[in-house]
Amino acid sequence: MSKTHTETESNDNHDVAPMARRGFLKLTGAGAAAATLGPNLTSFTEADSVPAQMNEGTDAEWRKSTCAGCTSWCASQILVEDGRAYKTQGNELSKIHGNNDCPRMDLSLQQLYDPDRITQPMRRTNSEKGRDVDPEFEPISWEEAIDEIADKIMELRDNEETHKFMLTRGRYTYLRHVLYGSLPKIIGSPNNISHSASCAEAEKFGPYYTEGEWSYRQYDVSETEYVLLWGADPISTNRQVSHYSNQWGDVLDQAGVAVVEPRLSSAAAKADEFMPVEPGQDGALATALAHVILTEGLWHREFVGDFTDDSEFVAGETVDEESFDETENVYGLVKWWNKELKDRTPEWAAERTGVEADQIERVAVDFAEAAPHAMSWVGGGPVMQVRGSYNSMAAHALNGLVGSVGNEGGPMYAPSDGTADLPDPSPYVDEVAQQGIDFPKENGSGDKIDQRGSKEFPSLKKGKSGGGVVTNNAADGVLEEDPMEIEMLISYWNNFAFSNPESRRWEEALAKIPFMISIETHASETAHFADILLPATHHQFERWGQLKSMANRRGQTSLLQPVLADDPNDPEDVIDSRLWNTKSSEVEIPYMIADELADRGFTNMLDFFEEQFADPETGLAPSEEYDDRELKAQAFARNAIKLRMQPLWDPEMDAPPGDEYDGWDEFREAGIWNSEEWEYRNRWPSEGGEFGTETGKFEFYSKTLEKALGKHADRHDTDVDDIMETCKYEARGEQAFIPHYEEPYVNGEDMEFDFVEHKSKLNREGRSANTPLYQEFKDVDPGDEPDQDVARFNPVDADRLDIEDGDEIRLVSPVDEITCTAKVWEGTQPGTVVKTYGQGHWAYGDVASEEFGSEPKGGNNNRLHVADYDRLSGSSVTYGSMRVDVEKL
Amino acid sequence: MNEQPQTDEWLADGEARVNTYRLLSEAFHVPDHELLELLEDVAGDDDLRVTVAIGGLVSELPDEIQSLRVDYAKLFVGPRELLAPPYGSVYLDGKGQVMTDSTMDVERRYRQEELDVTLDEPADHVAAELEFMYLLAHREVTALDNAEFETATIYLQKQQAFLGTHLGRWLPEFADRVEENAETEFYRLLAREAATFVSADSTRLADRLDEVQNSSPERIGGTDDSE
Repeated sequence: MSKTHTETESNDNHDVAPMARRGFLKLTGAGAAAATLGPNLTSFTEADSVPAQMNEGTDAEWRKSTCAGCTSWCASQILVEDGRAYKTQGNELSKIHGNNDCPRMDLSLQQLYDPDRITQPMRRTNSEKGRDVDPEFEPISWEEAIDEIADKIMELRDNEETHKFMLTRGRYTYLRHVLYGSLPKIIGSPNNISHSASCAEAEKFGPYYTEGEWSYRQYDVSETEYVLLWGADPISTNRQVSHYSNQWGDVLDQAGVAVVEPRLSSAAAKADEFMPVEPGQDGALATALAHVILTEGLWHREFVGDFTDDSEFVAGETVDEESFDETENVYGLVKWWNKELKDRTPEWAAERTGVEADQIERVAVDFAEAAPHAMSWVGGGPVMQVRGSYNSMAAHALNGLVGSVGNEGGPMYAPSDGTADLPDPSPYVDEVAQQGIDFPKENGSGDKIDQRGSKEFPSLKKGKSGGGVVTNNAADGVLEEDPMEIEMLISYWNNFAFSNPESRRWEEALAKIPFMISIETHASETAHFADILLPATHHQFERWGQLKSMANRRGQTSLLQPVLADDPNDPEDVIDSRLWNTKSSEVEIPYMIADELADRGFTNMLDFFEEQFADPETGLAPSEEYDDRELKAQAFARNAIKLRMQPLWDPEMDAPPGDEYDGWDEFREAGIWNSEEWEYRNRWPSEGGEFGTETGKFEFYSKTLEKALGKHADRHDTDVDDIMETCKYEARGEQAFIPHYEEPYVNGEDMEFDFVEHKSKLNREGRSANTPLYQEFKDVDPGDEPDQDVARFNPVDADRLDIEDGDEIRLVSPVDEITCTAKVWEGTQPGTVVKTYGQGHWAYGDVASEEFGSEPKGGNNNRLHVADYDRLSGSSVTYGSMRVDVEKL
Repeated sequence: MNEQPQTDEWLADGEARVNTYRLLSEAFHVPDHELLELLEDVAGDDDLRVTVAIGGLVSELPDEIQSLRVDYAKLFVGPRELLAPPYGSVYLDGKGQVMTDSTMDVERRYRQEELDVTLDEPADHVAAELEFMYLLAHREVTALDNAEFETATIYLQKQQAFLGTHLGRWLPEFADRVEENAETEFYRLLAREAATFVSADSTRLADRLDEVQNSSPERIGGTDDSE
């Protein structure tokens, strides 16, 4: 006989005593019944059914996804063994970067396996909100979290106040259409606010208002003979770093490289010409370069045209428009010369830029002599300034002068990628929702909570008044309750309280919103203000999505996949493969919300998801496949990506020329689609093409901008000059429509140092500072130190201020102050202080912060920056627009 | 069937070990009403052998559960500073990461026992490791109960190896962090009790193994799973 039993002899759980059911053992002495109940498991299942190979583990396999660490968006592959990701590298099938990657991709594993991640839904229990207030979060289930969110949405709808809903977006994939594009609309709010204007919208302004493309560019480095970089650092932080880093050795061999940059960057350290421009004076340099190109007669005649007589461009002298025969490719060169360039001599520019006239002349000549294989490559620094739109135009227009636009060795765009638009939510917008969407038309300033389209914020994306976002101004919209009060915010994959200038305002705005949901991987400075925290999947490893990239004359579009799952098509497998109880922000969470709203009688969103997102292979809607909400949500995510990519994998559908696939699984396993090569000069009218401008030509005098500004002025019953004045630009009359010099607008004019910022090579946007590798290798940023946040001074200034390496200092701006560590570094120009953006977290994790939740590691530059704008593009301003004072502590 | 006189004592000691690991593993899950009820039931059951001061633990339960849940979150979940990371890897591999080599070794040991982790956490979460010890101990006692001494020895060796390679190596530091940072007396006491029990358990295990092996030498084979 056995010596133990479990309180009764019964094998039926319902009949046994509670302690036995709970897995406890009780001894009763000799002669008692046998132990009949097995152990009771909470954290495990006893897997009789565990397949044999499970016991052995699974073989290592490279699985395809995409790195979303920066906007390079490289196609990646991840070595997965036994459910764990071990290594990352570029997807060798990419015809852009092959298996090359950059250091940022390597940091992603430490994000994935960071114990500081948000691991389950949580609810704030402390109703008070503030930077120094402990939110006292408690863990809750997904069901409870979704319940509370649905409660609030139903309250807004019942009260017909859906305009008080707001959604903010940070890093996205092209499944953004679900959460960002559809959810606010179906609920009934105009307030979907993207991060884009804190990124680099002003970079797109120049290309749009000269050649009609609102986009970042790719640069044909393998065919170029001259590279002129404006605040761009292609081997460090600009776009498609993997490809350009791989190519850069050849570029240095084959081409001249000149770098315009107020500090010594990675690219500058290797360049032929370093032009250490005074912060904010880029426009002076650009117009002077154009002046030299014209006076030296070095413009590209095939693209631009020529004089019909023996006229020439002479400094200080106007030219008769009739004497110059522009080709069909361009418009307004002589207007540009007469209204702007004729006086922009190298000597004039030298006085403003600090760059010697000889060097300006030499670079202009070398650049133009390489025409048309010469590129003017515009980064964020010269344009994310208060008057940066015109710098963007001026620097980009140089490509027009040398005929490199879309040409061999010049700047170009991505051939079309053929992805499908996801279904339109409009038919599911009901009367209550429409009323909420229309609210700003009758109330307050602008079109949305960021006040875009108001007189002060033209934000002329693609020629439309209020066409683009003014991200940072949404904080003021919330605080001023203009155009509406905000009662509910869903914030996903962004950290606006860290990444926007004058970030203190966001802390105030977020504290004011009564109900906030944050969907992130980490408890950021923004998440600190949330009422509900929802744990997000990591883009590269745990979810479906799509991103695209361009370089090497091609475009590519690639999948983000839940690579930890052995069968990503199987929702159950995907959910099981996740380490923690996370969900994808863009698709699964909206589905779960929609499902709950439908249970409460508001079915429009679920109807949209169910009716429009059937699996294109099986025809099954999510609810036809599963009953469980979480499985339905994951099936929905899979269906959405299959629909989005269908033209690329379904042989029955039309797609642009490029890689061809024979079905979803073949495409999914490859993870990528490559376009054909860009056809040189395909938009040149002389080659049968057309630019997307008003004239169809490359505009040195922008008829496109003239029209856009005119429409914005009309909207506010005024003229363009008034708009210029309101928006802090100097231009009046027709000068507003040409690339021209504007004196930098500087906040803190009477302060001592120009503040020069640049991005860290290791920034996965704002999200990598909590990885140990980030801190250990921080000195890959020229002049920085491991595990520190340094501000760098020229030795001359350091001597004068008695500052030495390692001194603790305070930087004081017109709006705030931070403390950090001093570093004496020759790569800093006298009169400037250089500081990398990236450190200064007081939240985000134990590694990122000095004391998680309270004390920052160093200081966040955005606390210093003034909430000012390049209002024509809507961009925030983080370069060349602010001075600071320095105190040694 | 084995009728050796030591068996009753082994079974009694074994029962206490099984129940204690069970209790501790449950107590390191997110606290809910079910857990409170369980603790109270265990405390109220005089016949149930456990080797922790269950009465003390129950007396430290706060009036409302929310303070316990908030404290649990701060200690073991976040989202702010994880005051006592509940993952073995953080202590054993020194990289401040989860899913390290030690985690994979834990998973391998679970798989050998044909177990699949259902917890939404890495395999080396404290609750899972404690439950794994519970399961191994349960299998050992069941074997003893059936006089399967060879099997009992194998499970004793597996416990010893797991404790020596994983849980026993990091739980003391983990418990220190809980004691240092807990806002509720409940978690302070729980950590102290867990550390005391687990620290003494390697001696307990060695003694048990010794006794089983000495008592029935001809029956004992076992495997060497100590790594």
